[in-house]
Amino acid sequence: MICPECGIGEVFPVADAERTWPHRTIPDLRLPSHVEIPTCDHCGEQWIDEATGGRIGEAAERAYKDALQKKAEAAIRTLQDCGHSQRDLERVLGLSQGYLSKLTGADRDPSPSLVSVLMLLAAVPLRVHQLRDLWHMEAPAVLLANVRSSG
Amino acid sequence: MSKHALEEVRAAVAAGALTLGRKAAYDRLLHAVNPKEGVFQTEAECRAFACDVLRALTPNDDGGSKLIADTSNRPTRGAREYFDEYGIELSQVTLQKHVLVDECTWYVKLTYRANEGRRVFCLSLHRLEKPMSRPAGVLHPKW
Repeated sequence: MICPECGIGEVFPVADAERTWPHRTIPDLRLPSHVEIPTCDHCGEQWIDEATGGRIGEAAERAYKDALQKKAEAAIRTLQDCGHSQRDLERVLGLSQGYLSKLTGADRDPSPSLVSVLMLLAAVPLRVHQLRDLWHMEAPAVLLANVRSSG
Repeated sequence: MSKHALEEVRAAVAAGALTLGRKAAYDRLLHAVNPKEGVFQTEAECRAFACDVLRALTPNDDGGSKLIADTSNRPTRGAREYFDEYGIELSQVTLQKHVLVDECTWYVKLTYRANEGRRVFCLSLHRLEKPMSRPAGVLHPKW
């Protein structure tokens, strides 16, 4: 098939282990190499029909859940290295006891919002202490100001 | 004036014979890769939206057609092929179905190939970026 975009190249199914696809919150999710996408050999445009789209969607969803799990595990490890136990994190995040260990044991899929919080905390582990203070009904104004300015 | 009959385009889309280009469709529609403009999270959401937009096109949305050869930097191969451009203002029903609020006006660029399984190729699908003259009047971007 001649590429509808450039009218020059030929479109062939291409399986590329380096190929990424945007899915939900992740802009560069790596698709499994067995997922072929028809691609123009001249302009590089990718052409996705219904069947290809279905395969991409399934593979991307699996890869996305896997990525969330890995990101959650990495964030928890970083926070543990900084002295925050899983139980400590569960308390400050309002999670039930054992939730995070089940998460790291692949027993459940973490939500993107939980993974977001864990990643942000892991980026600045001091935030765990700030978060604990912010849970007070009357969080100190100076703390709120610090959080705003550091953001 | 468009070169491809809208009835055939709509019939192909209804039959599931719609192929979307990545650069000017998915990469514009998916929020993860295009946070400023993207409104959808998954391939399936983009495809469902594209199907509804293409099925909603009418002759009043016709923005004309161009030769693909005129947009390529080098001579094209095979038959001289045209693509059609459309500008459409979506109904509130369609906007609500796809959880859109302000993104009312859209640009569509497509071609139809009867010799390749009566298939529609959507080369572009994104928010309307500039005013477009159509039989229904000039459509101005609203978003």
